[in-house]
Amino acid sequence: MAKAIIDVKDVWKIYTMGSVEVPALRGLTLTIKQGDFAVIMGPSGSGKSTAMNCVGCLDIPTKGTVHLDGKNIAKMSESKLAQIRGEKIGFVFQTFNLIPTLTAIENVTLPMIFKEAFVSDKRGKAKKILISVGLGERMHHRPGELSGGERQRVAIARALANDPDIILADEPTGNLDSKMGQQIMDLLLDLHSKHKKTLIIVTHDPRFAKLKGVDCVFWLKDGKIDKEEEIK
Amino acid sequence: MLQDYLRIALRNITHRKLRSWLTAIGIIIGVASVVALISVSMGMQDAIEEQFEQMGTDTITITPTSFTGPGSTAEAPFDDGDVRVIERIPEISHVLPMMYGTAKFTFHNEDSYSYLMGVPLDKESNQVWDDIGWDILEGRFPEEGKKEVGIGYLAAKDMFDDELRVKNTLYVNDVKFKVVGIAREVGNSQDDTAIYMGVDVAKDILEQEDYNMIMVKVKPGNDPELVADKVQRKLEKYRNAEDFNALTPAEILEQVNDILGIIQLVLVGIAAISLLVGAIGIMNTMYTSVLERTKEIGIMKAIGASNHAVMLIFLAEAGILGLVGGAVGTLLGMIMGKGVELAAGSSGFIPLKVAISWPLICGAISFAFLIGALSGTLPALGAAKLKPVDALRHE
Repeated sequence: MAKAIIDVKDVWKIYTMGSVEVPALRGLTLTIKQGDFAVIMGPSGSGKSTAMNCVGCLDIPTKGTVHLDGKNIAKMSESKLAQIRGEKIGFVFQTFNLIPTLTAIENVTLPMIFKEAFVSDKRGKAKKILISVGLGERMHHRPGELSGGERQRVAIARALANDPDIILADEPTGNLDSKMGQQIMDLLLDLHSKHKKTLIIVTHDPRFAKLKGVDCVFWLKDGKIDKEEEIK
Repeated sequence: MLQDYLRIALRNITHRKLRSWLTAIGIIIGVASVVALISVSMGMQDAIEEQFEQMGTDTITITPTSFTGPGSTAEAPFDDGDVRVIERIPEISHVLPMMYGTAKFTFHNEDSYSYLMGVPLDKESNQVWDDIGWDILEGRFPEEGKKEVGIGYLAAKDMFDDELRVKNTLYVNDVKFKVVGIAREVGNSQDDTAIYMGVDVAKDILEQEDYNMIMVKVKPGNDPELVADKVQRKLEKYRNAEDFNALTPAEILEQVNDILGIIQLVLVGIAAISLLVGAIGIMNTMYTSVLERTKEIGIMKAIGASNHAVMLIFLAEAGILGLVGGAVGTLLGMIMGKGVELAAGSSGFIPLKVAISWPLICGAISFAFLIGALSGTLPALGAAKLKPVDALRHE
């Protein structure tokens, strides 16, 4: 059995709004194994965004532990977390989240710039990745000059820049039409199957649960796992 | 790595061209005025020093403590008794008592009022004039006891509709005089617009017995400053009053420089206020920029940017704004200084050479960069401290 790459145990996340405490996660527990394709599913308000933030090291839990590759991130400093995000996790967002002033290739170079260790030939690497996601022709365009599908490809290329173990995608097809969405999904599935990346998709769309290749689905409700499905 | 941050910062600046320029203009104005003022006042200092150097190092000037500049009607405090006291001091080779006042000059029936100087014009005195660079361009020095005048360079050209020439007849306070010499240009308007005659003749014309000022030549081999002190002591004892100063050119220069230094400080201080306003402009722009790009900051943090990296990017942006402002401002300031130089030259005022030096240029530019970076520090810290989740959620 593959080892657990993400191990979330009894995580609580409580936001304080004025004097009211709002718990977004109430004892979330889940484990994702290395190389798995996991889907975290839930309606809006179920706490799935907060769950993604905790899994993706964007936020630390109020209570409980999150182990990434065996290390507890709840105790880490912000700069250490930034380092982990940059090297271990590749984010793909619903709204692409590219830097509008930078060209496609510069956007892909960015995670390499922020990496603590020196990366040689950043542009060459970025170019290769962009070609591999089918954007060899448009790498010198800015996000504003690209279609939605192209932008998401740039975002995926950026997620791959530091060759991370985990691809964490938040509604990756949410802003795309069905044809584009399918292409993006194919691309992500390809990364999972060919490059053995752990793929986590956070979504409200139940169709993802039925995708071929999904290893496990976590159904979220009211800040904790309502149902866990393991697919053999 | 740093050059990558610089590139990102530069992209942000060029992306918002208008705002970046407006921000930089604040610094440009401040730096330009500081550079212009410093270069002009330093040039002025140089020009004044040059004037004093012409006076040589072996002369002492004795003037009343109260300000009696050209055209002032203050009393002339020195009499022949004072002159005799000074003449008895062994270290002194020659004493030149002088008087000045305003007189009416008439040429070709045209009246004009100007500054009349009565100076000793014996052979020995003329040698002193020669030593300090007061020279005749045309004709000769007037002679003592004769109704002869020498004309300052600018006075000859500009005082009357017709240019004054050697051998012309000029009436001074309605007394007939003959023009015997035109002086070479000295370089300061005070001397160049004056009219000179023997001090004995001037006594009658100005109707005064006393001298406004005494110049003293020190015998070679003596320290002028020590001799000046001695003159001061002896004359004080004789006059029983401390109403005059005996100073060497170096001492006078020191006093002038002190005053000039204060003026310079005040002017540059005022210019520095505009620099401060420019700095606040940068700070304001950077705060706006952080606010606008909160989401970008979130994205950068999500993909691995540390607080440090985010801060450096914003600091670089502020620093570049300061640097560009400093460079353009310095250039503008130099042009402004040059303009003052040209204006001063054409007005016949002291010939001014603005002092533009590399330390001034480098200092101004690096100071502007520092101001930019400092103004950007707080906004950059704010950007660095943003939590990635909050920043990402920002629209």
